[in-house]
Amino acid sequence: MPDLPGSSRDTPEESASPKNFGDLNEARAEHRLRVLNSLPFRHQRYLFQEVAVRCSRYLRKSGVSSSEVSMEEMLSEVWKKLLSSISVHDESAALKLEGLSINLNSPELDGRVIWLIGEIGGYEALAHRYEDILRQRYGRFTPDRGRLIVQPDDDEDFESIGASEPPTELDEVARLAWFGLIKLAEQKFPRADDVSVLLQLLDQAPDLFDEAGTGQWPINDIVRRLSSLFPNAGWNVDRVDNAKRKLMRWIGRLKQMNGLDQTDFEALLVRVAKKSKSDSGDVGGITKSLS
Amino acid sequence: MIKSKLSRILDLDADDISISALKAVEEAIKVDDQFRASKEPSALTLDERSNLFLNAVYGSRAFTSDDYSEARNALLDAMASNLFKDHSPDTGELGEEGFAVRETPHEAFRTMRAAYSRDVRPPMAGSSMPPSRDNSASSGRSADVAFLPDENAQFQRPPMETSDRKTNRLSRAPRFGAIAAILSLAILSAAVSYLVLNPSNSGHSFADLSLDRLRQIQQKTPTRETVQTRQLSSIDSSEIARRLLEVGSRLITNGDLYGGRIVLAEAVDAGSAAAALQLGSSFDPVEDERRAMSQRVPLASTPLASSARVAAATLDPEMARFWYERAKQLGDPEAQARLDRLAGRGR
Repeated sequence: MPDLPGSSRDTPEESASPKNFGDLNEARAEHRLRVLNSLPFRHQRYLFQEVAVRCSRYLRKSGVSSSEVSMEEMLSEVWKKLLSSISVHDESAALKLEGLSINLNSPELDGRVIWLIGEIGGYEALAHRYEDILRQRYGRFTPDRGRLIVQPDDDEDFESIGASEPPTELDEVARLAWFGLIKLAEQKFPRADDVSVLLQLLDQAPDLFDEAGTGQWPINDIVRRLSSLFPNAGWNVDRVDNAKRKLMRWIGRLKQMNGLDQTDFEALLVRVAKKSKSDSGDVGGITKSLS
Repeated sequence: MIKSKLSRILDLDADDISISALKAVEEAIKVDDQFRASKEPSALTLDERSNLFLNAVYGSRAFTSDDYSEARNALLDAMASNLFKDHSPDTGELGEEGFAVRETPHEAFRTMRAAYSRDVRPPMAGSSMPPSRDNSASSGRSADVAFLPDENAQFQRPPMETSDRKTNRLSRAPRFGAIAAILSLAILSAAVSYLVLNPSNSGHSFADLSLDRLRQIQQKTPTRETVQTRQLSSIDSSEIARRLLEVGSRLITNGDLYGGRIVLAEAVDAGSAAAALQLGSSFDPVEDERRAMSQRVPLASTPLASSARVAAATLDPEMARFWYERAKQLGDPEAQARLDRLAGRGR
């Protein structure tokens, strides 16, 4: 099997910090997606079939009945894992295609196909996907407590409490998307970064754009407000403009690197917000979790 | 308000972006093009991902817009999970290879949370479901349309698990169904033939048959389909096995290892010991090495021997052993020797 940089679990990266694990894994995930995309249709079809065979064999050998985990669930999990990989770092795709031999005539001899089969259809990888399915259903297994049942994400009863003036669906969706953006920015930019401060201001002053009317960003207004909040920070038009461009460039690259259009990206932000909400253990809706 | 703010920030193509921002975006796109060119192929769009997902899970067939919509939702959920890695320990997803997903600090923007609390308005009942998206609206769609909340609870179950899709792709249920149908038709037609050809057994002669009885017999007379089925079933099973073996061997010789194996498995089911042997051979690393040798000395006696070597990833001694055992059960004299060779390699 062709050897890729970092493809072995015995590489020095293994002893690296968890952060490096994460970066390496992201790079590998992104690389898998790129390799899959590079395959001709016939090779993809062969890969799909081969992975299906391996999933079937894994379930059979592991004694998993179809009523517990069906073939579709397993396949769905495997492909979802591969196809949902997302690029967040500009330099993350350090792995390149050079290490893989290409055979356009025989998919079973194509190094890219063989590598992908090994990556996603190996026993260990399938075991992880099976565990993922179980975790989604029952939560993480702990030796002393077993698996905890995951509470379904059904907040309806809680949300209806005190709903004096229900917002429109679009307002709510926009609110979620906005919160999702903040959560992502939180992971990307340090707290003291100008982008973080700018986002914070935009969040605290929801009427900022409305006051500006149609047209451009209210840069001057932003400078004025930031200067009043942080008198000695030296905010000026250039600095705000730079922060704005940095923010927009980050968003633009995130969209482009992951093939997301405006609608897809907003839908993704909404999901990030919901995930953030569910992870924080709140059941009262996004707005309650923020209180 | 938030919507306008969002669209202002997220929509890079909007007219209201300042010239400097546009320049910055152009610059970013230029850099991104270079980035893409250096790492071909380019990033997959969500539509392309969905298409691959559906084809990978359900095979190549026509999919409805609902299918695409479900696939998009499932992938977006997974992407959101990948993006937002601040998992709680009990519901987190495994890392790429089972490593712990890295923690990311999230102290920043605490003040923003507080700011949010001033604008608390509970969400609408029923809006807790993640947004769905109709693929039919993908062209010229607006985000507003895309964010209408789901009205069902399918988010809690794995994607594409509707009842009509639960049939295992690799299951042989359809084949068993067909066999059962053929058998019942054969039994029925045999019974009718017996009744017609041996009327004395039923206690009646043709002359004695009433109109009702004749009608009954007429209704039970085999249809054209039944007759055809009978003709098919009259083909010797060994002949079917031979033909399947021929087709399977040809497929493998032509490089379609997966298709060839499936057809050979059918031949084994039809009783072909040679097919079982050949199937085992397609998994056998020992035979693979022998084939490599035979390519230098072209004295191939089996179709596999003359084909290209099997990719290492598809070799599986355990599967080879399984099929050799089957060949042995079916009476193939070569099977035991193959098993021995395989065992010898294992040692």
